[in-house]
Amino acid sequence: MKSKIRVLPPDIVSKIAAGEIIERPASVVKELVENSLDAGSGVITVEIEEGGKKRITVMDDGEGMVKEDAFLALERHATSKIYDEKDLNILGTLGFRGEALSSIAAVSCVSLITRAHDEISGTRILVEDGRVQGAEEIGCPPGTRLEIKDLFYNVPARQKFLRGVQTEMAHIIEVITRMALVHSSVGFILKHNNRVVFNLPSTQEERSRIRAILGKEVTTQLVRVEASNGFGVVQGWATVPTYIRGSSKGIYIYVNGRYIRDKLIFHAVSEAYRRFIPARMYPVTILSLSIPFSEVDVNVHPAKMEVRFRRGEELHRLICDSLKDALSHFPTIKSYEASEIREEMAPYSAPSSLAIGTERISSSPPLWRMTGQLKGTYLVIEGEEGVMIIDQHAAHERILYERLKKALEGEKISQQPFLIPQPIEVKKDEKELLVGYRFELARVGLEIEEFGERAVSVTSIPSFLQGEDLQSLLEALSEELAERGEGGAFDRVLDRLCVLLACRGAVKANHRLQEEEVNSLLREWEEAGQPTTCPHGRPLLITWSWREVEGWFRRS
Amino acid sequence: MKFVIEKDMLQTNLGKIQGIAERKSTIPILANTLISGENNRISIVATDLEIGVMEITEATKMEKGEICVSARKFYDIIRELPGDQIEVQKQENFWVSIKAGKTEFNLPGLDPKEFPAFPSTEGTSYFNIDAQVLAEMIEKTVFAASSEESRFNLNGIYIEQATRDKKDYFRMVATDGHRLSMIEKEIKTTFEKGIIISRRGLTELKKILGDTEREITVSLEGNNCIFKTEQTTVVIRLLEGEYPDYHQVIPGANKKQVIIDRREFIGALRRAQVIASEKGEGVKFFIQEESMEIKTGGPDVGNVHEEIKVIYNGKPIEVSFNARYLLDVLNNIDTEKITVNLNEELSPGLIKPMDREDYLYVIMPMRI
Repeated sequence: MKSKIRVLPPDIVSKIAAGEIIERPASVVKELVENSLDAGSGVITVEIEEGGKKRITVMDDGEGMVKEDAFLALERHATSKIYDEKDLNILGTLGFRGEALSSIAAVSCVSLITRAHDEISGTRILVEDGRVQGAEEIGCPPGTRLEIKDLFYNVPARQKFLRGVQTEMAHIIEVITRMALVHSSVGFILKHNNRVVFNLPSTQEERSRIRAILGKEVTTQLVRVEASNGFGVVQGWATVPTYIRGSSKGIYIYVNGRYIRDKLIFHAVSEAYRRFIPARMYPVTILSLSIPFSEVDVNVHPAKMEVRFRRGEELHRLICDSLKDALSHFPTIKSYEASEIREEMAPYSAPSSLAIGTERISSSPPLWRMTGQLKGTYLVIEGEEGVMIIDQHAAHERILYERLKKALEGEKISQQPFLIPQPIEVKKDEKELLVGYRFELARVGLEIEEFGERAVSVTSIPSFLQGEDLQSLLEALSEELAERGEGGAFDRVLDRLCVLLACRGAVKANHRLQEEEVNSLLREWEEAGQPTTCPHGRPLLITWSWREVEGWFRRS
Repeated sequence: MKFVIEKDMLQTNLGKIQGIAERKSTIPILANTLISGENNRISIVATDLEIGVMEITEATKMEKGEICVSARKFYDIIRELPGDQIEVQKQENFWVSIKAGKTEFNLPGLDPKEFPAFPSTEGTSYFNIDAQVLAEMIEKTVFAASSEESRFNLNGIYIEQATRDKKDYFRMVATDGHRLSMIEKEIKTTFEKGIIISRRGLTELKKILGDTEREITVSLEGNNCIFKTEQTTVVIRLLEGEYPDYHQVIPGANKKQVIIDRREFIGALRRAQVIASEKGEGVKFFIQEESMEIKTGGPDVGNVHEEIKVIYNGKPIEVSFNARYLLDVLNNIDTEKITVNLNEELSPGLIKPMDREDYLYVIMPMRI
């Protein structure tokens, strides 16, 4: 029998390798722009044709290359950035593997024009099919210009998987956005089919770059994040808890200038915001981490989106603490989190060993005073620092939600059992769902039992749900549970249960509240950590400082 | 049609039907009242299709006929009219003129034939009950009925004939599932089986008949329960559905009996409620020999702690109740002292007025 195993010819090897790095036009753009950034460019211009499928051109005014280097750059594992193995541990540049250009050249037609600053003339090299087709001396401005034509022309399999022009372009924009956000001193110009998509001038003010990319609204909602510990330095920007989004796309994290997506860091961010924003809602953050190169391994994946940290816990703490600290400087929270409150609160938790036989009502004066209620729905609260308007339903909903979450974690919840268990008719599939979740429901105080084919019997409810219509409550609950069938994670289902129950139990809009009820609501809101949004993510309060109010009336 | 009537009498009678003639009804004619006159008597009728009221009163200068006008407008006009005598007369196109002294109102009306027919009130068998007793029974039960819309049967008060110690009792029971209130009076009824009347029906009945001194005749006719005095007839449609078997949840008296001064208890609960005002917040009771500790609160709402004297000589017991559920019943008891029978921490408590057997209240403890 003939031997079947063969060593692959070099051109196939390079195509396979290219596939690892070069997935789509956006990957080309990423690699080339990273090279331009490493070259110390002042302005980087990217021109795209047909979503990059036809042509990608990246021009920079960076340090450029001399002729010999230009040739080498197109070879596999040729790089100016690592000299020996030791250097792998101290990678300070964005690119380093020496794979990018050669990989791109393996799957496209490349034209490289470059001129080092101290040279009189530049070099032009044409590569096709991974082989240099020609080279010549040429007059050109200093810097590097790379033109990539007909990407994947020789890899039909990959070409088939390219998406439409718009989709590919969206990826390219995202790639450049990620880099431009943290390189505000570098100008970026992006053109598609000869039309300018964006033109970001170089700026020293980080926020004007963020504003140019993410918009004015986000920019006004940013607080500065800056912290360091023995592990590293974090700096950047994060939105206040009232500005949140339904997707985590707005979380931009950079490690030593490299954009990454990392679960650990995501977790740290959510942890910092956990008390302020509901589950599945995310802030916008632009955080740059500077970590000693020895602490981070970027050589995990060719596209370098994943990294490994040697001391994950400390990194987690650094990010989480820095964000918490920044958020505590957010005016709304700060102004009402005066230290006196804590002291005032102390008597509440007094043990039950108070003198017996005497009446004692301890109820400290609230730090806020309700001055009115608008439309039976919004509470106008006056405090030392300013005035706030609270949506009573949203606030109460949030408080109940937090209480339910704690109940899920094992804390006791006040509940009212039934004297006569309440049989509630439901559909058969609804019954299955409700009974299937009975242990989880019991944790939040809702106890049900099977009761025949098409009914459940409710034996206890959380006390804040007293008087609620059980029939419609169970219908809504099973609807939420049914979503689980569509692949919702278990935690999310529980979370949605909490949101639903909180919404049902919360004081409704258009309902006059007594002063005592308002005070109790405010205390609980404070106890819950002064959240600023309801579990659905809507803001629950707005505030104005007295300074602002005085400003309106031109008082100094 | 025409009649002349004393202002006060008309005003009183119209006042009684206001709760029935529902302005917000989706059937516009139900916001009206039907007034028919014959033989120097007029009848004033209102209905919301669940409850029907007919008031009969004397009038003079009668010309036979019927009018149908907005119950609210008519009432508001009568209240504001000067003088003692009012003349009401039917005009063309169902318009109605109302005259008193030199004042004359003209009000558009509807065709009286469109007004729903008043159900038959000729019950075959009936029994009598003192109006004040009936009012008391309603008052002491309705508050415990459910207001959850989907629990039709618990929205009502269960009324039945009961026999205890070879005596006949007229019994009313109300529960919302968490607590139950039951009252019975030694009256022989003609009910062969229990009926359910809506909470609203009984509340309106009490409003309409509660201030008479007379006896009320009670009978069943088809799907209606009829309450009748000489002047007033109230017809209430029964609620359909099974009432839960309430007997099994009423605990028997036992050794863990606490005797508490009612007013003192109310005072302490009201104070506790300041803190426990959050919907459904419970209050904890720690009962041992001769004393009951009452406490509630939490780290976020403040706390209250109080002790009152009680008569008790069982084992110490700790139990939590919804303060509002307790106040509801305490405010409906007239005796100076009450008894509370407890068993386990999480089993139902039984509350009664001291030395009276006609009223009891069962309440399920909370878990806090």
